[in-house]
Amino acid sequence: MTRKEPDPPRPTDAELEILTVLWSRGPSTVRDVHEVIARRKPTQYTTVLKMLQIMAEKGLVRRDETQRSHIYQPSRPPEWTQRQLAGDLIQRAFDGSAKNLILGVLSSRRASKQELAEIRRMLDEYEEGKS
Amino acid sequence: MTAVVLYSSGSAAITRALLHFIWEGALIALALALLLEVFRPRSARFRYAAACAAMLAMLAAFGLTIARSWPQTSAPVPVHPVRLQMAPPPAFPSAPAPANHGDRLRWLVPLWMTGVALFGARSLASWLAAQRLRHTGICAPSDYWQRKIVELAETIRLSRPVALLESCLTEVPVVVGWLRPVVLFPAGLLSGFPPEQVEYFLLHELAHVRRWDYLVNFIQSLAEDALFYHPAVWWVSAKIRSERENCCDDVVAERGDARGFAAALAALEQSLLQNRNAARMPALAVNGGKLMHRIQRLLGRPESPRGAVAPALLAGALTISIAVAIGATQPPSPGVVKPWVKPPRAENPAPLLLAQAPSNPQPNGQADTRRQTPYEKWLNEEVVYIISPEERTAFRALGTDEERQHFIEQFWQRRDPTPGTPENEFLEEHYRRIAYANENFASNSVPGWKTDRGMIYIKYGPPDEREEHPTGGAYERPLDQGGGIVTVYPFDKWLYRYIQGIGNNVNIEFVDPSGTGDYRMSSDPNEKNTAPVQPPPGPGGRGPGPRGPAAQATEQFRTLQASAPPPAVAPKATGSFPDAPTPAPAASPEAATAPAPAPTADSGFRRSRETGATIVLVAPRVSGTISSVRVQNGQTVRQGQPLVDIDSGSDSPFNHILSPIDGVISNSTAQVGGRAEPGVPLMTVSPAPVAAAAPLPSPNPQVQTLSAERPPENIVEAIDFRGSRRVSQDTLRALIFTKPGDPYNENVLQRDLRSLWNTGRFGEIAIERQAGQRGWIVHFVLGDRSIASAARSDDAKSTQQSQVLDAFKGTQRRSESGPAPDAVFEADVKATMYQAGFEAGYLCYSQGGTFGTCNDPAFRQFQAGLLEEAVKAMNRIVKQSGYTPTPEARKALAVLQKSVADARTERLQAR
Repeated sequence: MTRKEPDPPRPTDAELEILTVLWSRGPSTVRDVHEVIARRKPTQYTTVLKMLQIMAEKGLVRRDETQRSHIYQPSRPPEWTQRQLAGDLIQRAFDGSAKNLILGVLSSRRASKQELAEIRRMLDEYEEGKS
Repeated sequence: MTAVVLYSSGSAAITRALLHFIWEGALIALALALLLEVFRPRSARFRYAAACAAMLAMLAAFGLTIARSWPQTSAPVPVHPVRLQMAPPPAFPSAPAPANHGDRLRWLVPLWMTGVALFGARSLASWLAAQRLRHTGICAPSDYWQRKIVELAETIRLSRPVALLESCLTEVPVVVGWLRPVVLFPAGLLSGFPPEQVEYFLLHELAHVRRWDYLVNFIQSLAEDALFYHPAVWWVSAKIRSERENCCDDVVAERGDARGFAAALAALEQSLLQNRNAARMPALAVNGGKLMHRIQRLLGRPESPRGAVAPALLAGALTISIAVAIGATQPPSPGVVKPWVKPPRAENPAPLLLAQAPSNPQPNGQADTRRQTPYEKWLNEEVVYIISPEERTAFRALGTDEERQHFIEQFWQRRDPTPGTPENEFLEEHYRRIAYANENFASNSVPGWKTDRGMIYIKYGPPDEREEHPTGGAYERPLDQGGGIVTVYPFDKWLYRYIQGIGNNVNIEFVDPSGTGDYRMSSDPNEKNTAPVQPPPGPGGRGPGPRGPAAQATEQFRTLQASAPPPAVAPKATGSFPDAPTPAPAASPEAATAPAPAPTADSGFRRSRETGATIVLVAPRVSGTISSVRVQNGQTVRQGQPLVDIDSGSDSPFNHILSPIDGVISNSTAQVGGRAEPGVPLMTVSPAPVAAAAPLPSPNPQVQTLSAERPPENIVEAIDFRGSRRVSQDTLRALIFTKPGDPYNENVLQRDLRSLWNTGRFGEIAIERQAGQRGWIVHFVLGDRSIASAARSDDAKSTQQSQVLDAFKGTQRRSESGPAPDAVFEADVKATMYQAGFEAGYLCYSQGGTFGTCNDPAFRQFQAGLLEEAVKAMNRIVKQSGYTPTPEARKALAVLQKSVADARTERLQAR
């Protein structure tokens, strides 16, 4: 069995932002992360660097030091974070309720695997009917 | 005083309005339901407008009823129940007036206000949470998409600026805000989905913005809050929600490809399902537009009859009668006024599988076409050849159709070679085979699936070779059957090169002695001869003797068939086996570490033979199961193609991932979901020679002691890794079991060494220890191997499959040579052998060799060692899982043990 590392603490809002960049872009250098963040709001390179170092200490990100510019990558998948954030009850009620207002592409009711299989079949049939 | 009076009479007015709204709301909902269901307007826009109008009418009705009986400030009216009786709304003379309920219903207004406060608080929380989404955990997407959203907004004539951001808090693309709307995409979706699909999602969200849906939705939520206690309100609200989505779907469909958008929605749903499974998140059962209906709409299919109307009518009728009842004498009981939060659900979808059931082209004259329930049909016809006895027993024990449906779903899921993808290749292939059998093997009286050929075809697929002699007649007999020319009945000879559980080169003959097309499987090659033949004396005077291996195989075949009894036969007693539908023995913790039963892996490989290239990725074991792997940088590899962990056995240092991917993986990194670590590099295993085979130096298992003195305690104080430049310390740490603070144990260290060695990353590994302040400091001294970083295969189609297959055959054959053990045990054996085979194959690869071609003695030795381990594991399973193996199973184990012994002798001789 692989040893389980202790879970990192719940990320703060600022850390969440950096994590979002990493999830969206994949493993990145500090420069990459800074570039993305600076696009939205003026941020110092060193701020991002410091944040990433702190996050690496906390275990939120991993640092690959084998290359000259260190590459950071999130240590946990986004689902983990969503779960963490939804960890306490108040937060869960809070975040869950946003679903009433926001307008998503899909409803929050998940289809079953079988429904999906059926949908896939319909799509295929449609394609066949067309050609 | 006046104020108090005013308040009281105001309260009375509200009480009155609350009661009247029960029938008002029901009536409006009824009107809407009639409009929508009787006239069935096709335009989503119209339906949406109608639903919105209904909602407005409800608000107006409620407001007017209050206004009507609201006390005039100038002339305060003494509050008295009679006051209420004096002014029933003239429009509804028959309406029951809540006569002399004023005192008894005093609690109604406070109760309603509490409800409104609670629902209002919920809406406030919603609003705050939605605002939070705008600011937290977001990042700006690339310029490409920033430009794209402006372009797309122009195409739908949306002039307001809309911001596009990536967020880690949403699961699906959403739009938040009204004056300054923001479209939020989940992190990674923009790059992970094909651009045209992303554009569809963008268009859909932009359509929401253009239609001011956010605002309408907000007002709608407020209406829900105010009139929370009436189910009709929730029903109308749900209608608005689903029609709103339909309207936006139409916008996308008008400007693009409706089918493409439908496929995009399905793909998104799919990825969510996967993540949710990986993260074990509870599914939030909030109802909304049902995906199935939306997709049917998009594809222009007639929508299945909506089940929502019946509950709505019922609710309407119910509330009216309640209102009447209230009006008569009694105050409403709290149970009735209680908010009915759940809007009416649509009816259960018809069992999907049954829709796919093969239509039997042959008029089936047999008695068993008597009315079977769909589930009986499923059990006795559709899956009769592939369901295991345990599953059959379990299925029969089920009480409700819901359970059965669930079971069927699980049944196919267990067999899905690529769980996680919407397609279940196994299911599709199975029904294709049934259809094929019905079409091709039917005789006059028997439907195709029931014939012997049908059975074999359904169970084992198309034969590798087939020899048809539909007319019979003269036939040149092969030499090993006696040679010569004989007259035979029509027969059909099938060859399977390999059938799992039976062996190699399985020949099956089907003979039709009656000439009616009813071919029967025969175990004796002479059966097809029209006249009994005396086998001529063979060379060397060999008599008829024992039958050939092929015939034996056929015999075994029959034995195997018995494990899946035909419909007429009662299910075989399962003896002391657990009744669980899954054949996995998970009784004890030890047994739980045994590899999962092989059906998925098995069918995965069988399948790969037919579908094309299979790329096997082997990743160092990370904790948890791999849910999906995104292969990046591959030119021809589809992004986001889910790879499947085909073996979740936790004992192995590797995850074995199998995926049908077309093309070449040039450089792959994996993002691993669930509890696993992302970014672990995957190695592609490909049969194309990647490097010249290098002799394998075996690692030195001896621990070198560097210091003369001994530490005060016999524990591991610290661990470090030296000499590896390529693999990070964290990764290495994750690969080993020992951790600082553990008691010093050389056995565990050697296991660690093996686990490191098995990564194939290192050419040499040594362990050194040194006395520290408290305990031993353990050094792993590693030498990086020069390995091919990318495995390329130009001809990914032919070589790969066969060689991978061969590699597995080689390791599995040994265990399969015995008589057929019973199903559970067989699955265990297979899984273990499979595991052994894979690891052996991997080791071979790591030496630079290729699957199936590794003749290195070290490799063989390793393989034999694994075989030995496999037997140990088998014995452990037998001992600990609490079942007693049948005599057949015992025999199989004996065979396995013998083959281990043989391998050991071989090894000794090799030395």
